[in-house]
Amino acid sequence: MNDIIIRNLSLSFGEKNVLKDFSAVIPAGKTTCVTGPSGSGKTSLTRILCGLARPDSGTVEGMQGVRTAVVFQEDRLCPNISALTNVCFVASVTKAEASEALSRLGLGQETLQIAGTLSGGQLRRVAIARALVSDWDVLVMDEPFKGLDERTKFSVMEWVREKSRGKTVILISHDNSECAFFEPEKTISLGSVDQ
Amino acid sequence: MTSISNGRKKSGLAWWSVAVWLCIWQLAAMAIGRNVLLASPVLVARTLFALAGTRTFYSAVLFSLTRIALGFFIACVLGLALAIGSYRHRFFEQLTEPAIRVIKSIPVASFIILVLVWVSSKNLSVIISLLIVLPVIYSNTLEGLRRTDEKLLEMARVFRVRPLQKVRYIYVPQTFGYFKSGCSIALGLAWKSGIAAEVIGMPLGSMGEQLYQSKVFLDTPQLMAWTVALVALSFAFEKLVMALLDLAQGRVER
Repeated sequence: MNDIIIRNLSLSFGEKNVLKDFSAVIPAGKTTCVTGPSGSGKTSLTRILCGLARPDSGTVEGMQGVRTAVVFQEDRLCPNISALTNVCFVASVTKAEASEALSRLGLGQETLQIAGTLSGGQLRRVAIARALVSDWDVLVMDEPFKGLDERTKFSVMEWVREKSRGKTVILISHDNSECAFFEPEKTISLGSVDQ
Repeated sequence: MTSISNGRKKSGLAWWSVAVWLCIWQLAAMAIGRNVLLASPVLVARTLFALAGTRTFYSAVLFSLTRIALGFFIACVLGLALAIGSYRHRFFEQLTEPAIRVIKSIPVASFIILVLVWVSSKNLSVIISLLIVLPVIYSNTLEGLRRTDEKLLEMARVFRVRPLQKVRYIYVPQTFGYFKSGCSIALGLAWKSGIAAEVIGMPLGSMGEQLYQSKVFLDTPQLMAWTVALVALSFAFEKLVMALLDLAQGRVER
């Protein structure tokens, strides 16, 4: 896959400019961190990259026909099916593979529990497992480790790093230590000079 | 998902309350003293037992039940199909909406008389219950589809979830409650309108015809016995349909 080239993206909601003439190159096969204060357009940028929002102007090259996986800021899990089914039905993987991923993230018996009954931290891990085990060329993670305790967070981050090595990853985070952990090739700071 | 209880049990039928109302009915019948004006619950029960021993009773029950149930099920399928069509295509919704509004606004009696011009009275209750149920199922299902969590749909789009999986795990769980609530409302309406159609159209061997005959012969105990049978039948039918829907929901989501 090629680099993702973002050219002169602009997006506004009413009077508010969320992105203004934003350009960047996201290198293929590497991790790119996107940082910036709240409201600087990080989530809007990921939505445009995933094809969920259209910019007012500008283009994104290199995303056509690319398989994307996303860890959304919210978990976006189906509440009335088990954690395991949540991973399987999206990722088209076998139950064994999904189960292994979930257990690697510290979920044992909980994998068969209805998602709606899991705690916030457990739901977060299910959402991460779902994205990571699916077939993807680009992984977009929007504040993926929010709500995890320090110990769990570290082991989850290790697993994510291991599973995404050599692939294109876009990590959006407020937390500099999270960004540093993934040794990004590039850091894009929104709402600052780059924009 | 956790639910919050308000500390009160779900309200059901309190048997003591039923007993109180039966006593009031009995006392009122005794006070009036004329069965033709108000038959006592004891007499109605006796008449109902006598009716239940006849062939006419069962053939009338079967006649009305099959037709009203058929009308209800056709309306469910049609209502679902129209709601899905309207949800997916704006043009389809614009085309369907006026028809549904007209069906909703026309009084049942007008429908019955109008439909009698076109079809034989034998199948009148099928058409009438269908027409009364259709808008309820359509509106409720469409509302449920519209309220499907947009974030889950976006997730499904990003992860390239297959259409059938999307229906099974996202649309069905989110819409089923609306459809079920529509069915619950529509079941009672189907019986009320279906029997009204039979009373007006007088198809031979129907429960509606029996009701009408009882009225013509001023046989109030029989009229009330048929009414009690209708209420019981409608109640049992609703319970059965709701149980089947619960079963279907469990199977689809498993």
